[in-house]
Amino acid sequence: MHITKKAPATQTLKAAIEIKQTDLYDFSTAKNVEKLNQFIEKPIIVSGKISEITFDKSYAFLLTSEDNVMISCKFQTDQNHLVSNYTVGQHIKIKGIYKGSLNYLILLNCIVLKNN
Amino acid sequence: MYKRLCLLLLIPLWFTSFSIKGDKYICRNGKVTFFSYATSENIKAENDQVLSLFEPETKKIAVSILMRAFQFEKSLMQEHFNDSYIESDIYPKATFEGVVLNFDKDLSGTQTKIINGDFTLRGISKPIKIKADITKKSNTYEIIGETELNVKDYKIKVPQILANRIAQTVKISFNFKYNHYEK
Repeated sequence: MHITKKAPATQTLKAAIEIKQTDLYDFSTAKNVEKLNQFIEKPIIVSGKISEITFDKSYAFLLTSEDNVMISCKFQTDQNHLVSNYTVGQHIKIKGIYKGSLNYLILLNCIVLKNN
Repeated sequence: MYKRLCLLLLIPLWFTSFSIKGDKYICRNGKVTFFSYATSENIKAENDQVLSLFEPETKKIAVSILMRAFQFEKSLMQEHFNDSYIESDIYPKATFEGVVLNFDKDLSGTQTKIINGDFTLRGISKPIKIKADITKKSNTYEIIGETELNVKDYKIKVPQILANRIAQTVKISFNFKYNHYEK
């Protein structure tokens, strides 16, 4: 029944945009964060250096770009075995559903992509 | 200089009301859960992307909650929550600013205290009191508590057809783990 439907897995969704590290700062300034509003509830691809790792049923990484823009990424539980070996300082590319921003961008239902 | 200025713009304005002198502690993966117990359906949603700052010296606490980060078991309920009840496009965040009464920053262990403050949801601010356990361990803090909110206080419009699915009073519980804020 559609009323009991869960959200689709991020693996099945095509990314609306890939934000390269060099563009991340431009998107994060107060004026330009509004430009990201068009991607709310859509899958986006981001990359950055892992600055913090937490775990509560699934992993959450805080990524920091070279311009000190922060992105919080909460992974799907099916990613636990893929992300468990990552450490602080490593670079990672992630696809997740963009939810909005506090003083950092927030992505949920994240999956790890191969880092190019 | 310009980059630092732009970065400052990212910090919500209400964080700047904190005193410059006091040590600050930050929590970026705070957890807020709400429960609605109704006759036809119990609803639970969880948000573990909550941001909070705590300043033990001034006893101030500030919380910022991105409403779209609440996750529900059923995606349709999540849509209704954001599109109809909260109107998250118009009111993307809920905030709380308050003070912990009679808090002693020099005590280790757990203190049970009342936090007085204003909770703002959908642009409406209401004073609330929250009973919370505040635990100091090494250079970290953990604050756990719960409170109740009346749906009507924040002008949340529930369609008549769904009235028996949403409780009039919603129970909110939270758990914030703070580390020292290194700028």
